[in-house]
Amino acid sequence: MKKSDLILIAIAVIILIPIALLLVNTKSGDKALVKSDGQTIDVLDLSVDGTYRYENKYGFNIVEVRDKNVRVIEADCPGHDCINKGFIKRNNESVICLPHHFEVIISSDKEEYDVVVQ
Amino acid sequence: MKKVNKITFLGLFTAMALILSFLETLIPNIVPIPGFKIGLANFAVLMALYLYGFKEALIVDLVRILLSAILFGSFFSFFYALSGAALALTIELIIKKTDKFSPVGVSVFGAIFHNLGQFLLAGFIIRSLGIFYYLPFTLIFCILTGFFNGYLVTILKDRLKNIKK
Repeated sequence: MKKSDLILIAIAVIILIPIALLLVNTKSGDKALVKSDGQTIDVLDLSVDGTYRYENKYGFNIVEVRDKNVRVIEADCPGHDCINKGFIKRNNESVICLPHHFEVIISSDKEEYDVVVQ
Repeated sequence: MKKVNKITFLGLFTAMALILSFLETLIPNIVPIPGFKIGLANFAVLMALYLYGFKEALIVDLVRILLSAILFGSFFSFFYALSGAALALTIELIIKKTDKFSPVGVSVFGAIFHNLGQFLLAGFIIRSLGIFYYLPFTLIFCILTGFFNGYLVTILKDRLKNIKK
């Protein structure tokens, strides 16, 4: 190993760890934007439980809202990566279904982080 | 004889890459990108790059991606794997040419750009930047595997020099 290798890894770690910690500590969101091809087609209120079906020209996805969490429970995409992703709840977290160009992303009107310096 | 020897070893590297690709499919996917992997298979490609050269590494990489898409993936995973691999191999070649980094640095750079390539393609396809939320997490994992791949290549490349004879 050369010195430049260590510098590269050190820089990567110094940049990535704080960003990852910051992202993990974001607050739960209170709404979910449902997007198809980049266009917002629906906004779900996370305080209301329910299941919703969305269909576009690529296929369908069924989204479930339960206890302020969101997940995709059914889809006719080949890999089912969207279903395997499971529940999401933090602000800016998202479930995407690439074959369907479909995305559910958590959003919030409130403060973004748990810790606010007064 | 030299040619037969080379074909045999490239075949072995490809087989090794395929086995590693299969192992990766057993690891739960942390991001919903079809074909997104932490990059274990890059070890075999990196070995081919260091023992033979760019052309040979490209062949091993392409055959691996095609076969693993047919065996364990889908039509979609083929393109995502290809986008990441193309960018990663190009960057690895450039970094290797500069001669400032050992295989560890080359491998880590490859891992970083493999990630970026896949995220950019995915972001472009769904026309949203939301997926980049996961980039820091995947980068941490991929840099770790990149580090181990590079370290293994550092150890093995001098010991396996003789296979070219």
